[in-house]
Amino acid sequence: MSDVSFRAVTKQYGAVTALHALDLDIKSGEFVSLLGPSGSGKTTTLNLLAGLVEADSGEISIGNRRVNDLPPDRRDIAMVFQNYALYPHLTVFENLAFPLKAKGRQFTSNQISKKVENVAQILGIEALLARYPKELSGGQQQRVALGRGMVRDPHVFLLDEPLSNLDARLRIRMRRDIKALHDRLGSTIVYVTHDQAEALTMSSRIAVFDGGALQQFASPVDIYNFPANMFVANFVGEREINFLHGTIADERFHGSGVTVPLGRSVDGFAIAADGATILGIRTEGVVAGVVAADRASAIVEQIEMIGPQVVLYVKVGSESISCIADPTIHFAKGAAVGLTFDLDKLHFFDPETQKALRKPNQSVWLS
Amino acid sequence: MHYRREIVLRKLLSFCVNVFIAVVALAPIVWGLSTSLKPTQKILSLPPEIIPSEITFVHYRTLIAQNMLTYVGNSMIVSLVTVMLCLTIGTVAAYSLSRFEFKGRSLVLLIIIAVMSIPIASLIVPSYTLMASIGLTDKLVGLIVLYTAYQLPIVIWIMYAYIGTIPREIDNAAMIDGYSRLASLRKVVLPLCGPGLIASGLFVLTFAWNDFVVAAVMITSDSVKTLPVAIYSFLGYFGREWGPLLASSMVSIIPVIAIFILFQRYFLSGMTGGSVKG
Repeated sequence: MSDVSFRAVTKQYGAVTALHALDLDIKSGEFVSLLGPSGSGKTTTLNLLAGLVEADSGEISIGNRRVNDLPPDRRDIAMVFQNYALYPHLTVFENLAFPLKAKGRQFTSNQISKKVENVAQILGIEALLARYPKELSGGQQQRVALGRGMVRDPHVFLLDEPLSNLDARLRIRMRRDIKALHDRLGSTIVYVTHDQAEALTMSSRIAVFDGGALQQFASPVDIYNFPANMFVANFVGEREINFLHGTIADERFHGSGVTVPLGRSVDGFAIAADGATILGIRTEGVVAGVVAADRASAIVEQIEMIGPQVVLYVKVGSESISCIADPTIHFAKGAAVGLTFDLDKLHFFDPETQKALRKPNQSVWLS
Repeated sequence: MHYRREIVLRKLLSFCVNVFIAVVALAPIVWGLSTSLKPTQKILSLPPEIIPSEITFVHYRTLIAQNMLTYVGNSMIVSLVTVMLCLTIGTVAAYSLSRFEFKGRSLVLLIIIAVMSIPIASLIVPSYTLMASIGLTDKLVGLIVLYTAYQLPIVIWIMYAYIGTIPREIDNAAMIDGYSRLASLRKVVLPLCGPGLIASGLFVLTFAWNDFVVAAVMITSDSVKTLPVAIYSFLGYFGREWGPLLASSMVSIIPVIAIFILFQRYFLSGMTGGSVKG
């Protein structure tokens, strides 16, 4: 059953198209991340769903009910804002109770206290109920903001980059907490982020946006392993993907200064007649190693220690490639190394359309 | 320790300057207050006494006999109603100017500024003609309407700047939490507007309480005279009787000073809160 759906929704700000003909179906209980750089349309999508912005055309529905013309207070949603938007003149208790005291929600003050205490206990903020927001740390404010959303058991939970104001460690802990919360509540969550790691770790599905258009809507595994186009391939992943321009001929990829023997792994791909292709491979798909001098093809330019591995930036011909290497081997700048490409991790893109090339038996991953 | 002496000297200097400013500013008020409490025969005696050796409230009693309480009452009614009207209309107007995008929004803001810069004296004749044609001259309601009209632009402007400093997400959050726009204005935005409301309220209050020119033109009957107009007519009535004259001045000055002292903390934060983004 689809819980939240967008049908051909378009939004313009003056001459700028913030969102173009969006079609998106989110199932009940799903955790969907809207991922993209700033100005990609992800926040517009969330604001449209919340009712803070009106759609120019198209239809938005929540729980099979058209909500285009409903004000935010009648959409049965809760939202956590990037800056938390706690009410500074109210205590934590009053902040949490605020949604329950809205007109048309008949709760006795006993029920309200009970619900607030329950939520505070889940989030571990019982000790803070009497404080004011400015007396809380960032992480605590974050929890209060989440609690204010949870307290009403909303149909859909909207989160707008809720972790971006926290420090790195806390952010990673909150990811787990939010995911645990989702497992516990089971409500539909729409989560806006520009952080691909957040999207990959928490979501059941990710919608990648760029330039006001949905690029791909799929599970984290599929987004990572089968990106629909060059944008998705590059945006998702810890570091930028390596793109090599070249041609495919005789089961080999010929780039400028680099030749990759492809073997049978290229069979079935819809390569253009002239063989022009862009090869994409993530850092972990290329392994640098020490080889005999006559077989070395790359020069080490930079070395990055990232913990379990070493990442090398190497020069191959005119191309610069990032790759991984064994951290027990000492590499020096300027050293000559050999590269091994993991053939299972190759992506091929059409240089014209920038879309991924697929084997015929692979389904199309674009939503 | 050379620098210590320098610090002490600097502090001393700034203390002296401040005392000088305070003396210059307060002297007339202190003199007026002390004179209003002296018996008539001692007022012009030499040498003058700053702290009267003999205190009397006879001048204030004279004022009460002259209907002073009615005038004070009139001024209070006019000032308070004007403040409430200005704050209500001004806040709603400022909220919509700050939160809604609509055609002509910047034009409206521009007009508000332009209106603020028109001197009130130049508006008196047309205001009088208008008020006369709708029968509101010589009535307190007429004064309230005019004061509200004159002071609304500054209130809108201060509140517009102040509401601009409150993050939009806060009222969005309230709306998502189940409140209508008006309810979220009342429950969330308004409580956060305190300093702005106080700053603009004080502006309006001092104007309405102190205004002489407009009231002098509009009001003729004794029963609806406001305090400044009444004081002016005392000038003719009491001639050179400094006692009742200064007593009436004190009655008009002291409430304003008291209110400012009471609210000065909020007033300052309201002014700067507005000025940052204004």
